[in-house]
Amino acid sequence: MSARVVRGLAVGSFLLATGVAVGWWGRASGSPERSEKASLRSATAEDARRPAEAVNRITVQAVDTSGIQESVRKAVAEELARAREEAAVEAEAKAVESDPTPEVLAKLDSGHEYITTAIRTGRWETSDATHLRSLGADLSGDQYQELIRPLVIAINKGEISPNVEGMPF
Amino acid sequence: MIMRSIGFKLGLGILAIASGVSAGSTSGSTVTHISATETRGVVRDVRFSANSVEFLGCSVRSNGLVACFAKDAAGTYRSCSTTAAGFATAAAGIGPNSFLTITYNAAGTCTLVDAYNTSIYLD
Repeated sequence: MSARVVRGLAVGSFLLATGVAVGWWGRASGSPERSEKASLRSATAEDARRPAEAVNRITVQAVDTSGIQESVRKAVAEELARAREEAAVEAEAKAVESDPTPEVLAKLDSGHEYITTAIRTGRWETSDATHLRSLGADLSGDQYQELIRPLVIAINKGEISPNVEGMPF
Repeated sequence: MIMRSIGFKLGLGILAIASGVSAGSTSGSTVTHISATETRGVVRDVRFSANSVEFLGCSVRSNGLVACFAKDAAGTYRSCSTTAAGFATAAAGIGPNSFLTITYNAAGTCTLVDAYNTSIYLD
């Protein structure tokens, strides 16, 4: 074997070894399998970061809620103001209602006297019921109820026994 | 086969008639019951009671007054009135088949008008 052959074999072996080494390095750094594993690792790290992001989101929402609270406070204040206004109107209407006209006052007095007399006698006939209903025609429900109250109590106590066809008042 | 089927149906029909087929339960026992705080009765039963004394009912007026009256067989009379919200609607719901319950206080104010309308009070 000549020296030239021996040198050729040595160079060939060196080149082969270098090729194998380069090939292995290339696989190790650029293989699809490795890339996949790396991306999975990256995804896991992202998942781990998520709670922190969620906390951040909650913080952002807390800022928004304060805005909603302000809106609610405003709406409640408006609603309360409206309710106060309505109550004032109602109170005024009641004041007008509880302030009867002279005609109504006269009917109330007349009716009261009529009922007092009837209780004293213990008699209540159909004509009495008709008379009372005609007196109460212009009265409000509350006024008529107050007018007939002594009669109702007297009936329920048995102090007066209505002899009436239909309604007694 | 046809004759057998006809015979079976005929048999069922006879059995139904014999056992007195009913369309539902009815209650005709109550008339006007009056106490110091409550009156109750079925309107139809009171109307068709054996005596001509009893009555039971309520009136609803345009001024918002609801007045209720009742008299039992013994002649005990009770009445009440109210203008409270909801009573007019309840009183307007009274019909011939109503089991009517009225409660009241010592001041003669109605505290409850309950019109219970149900098939058992139908004739």
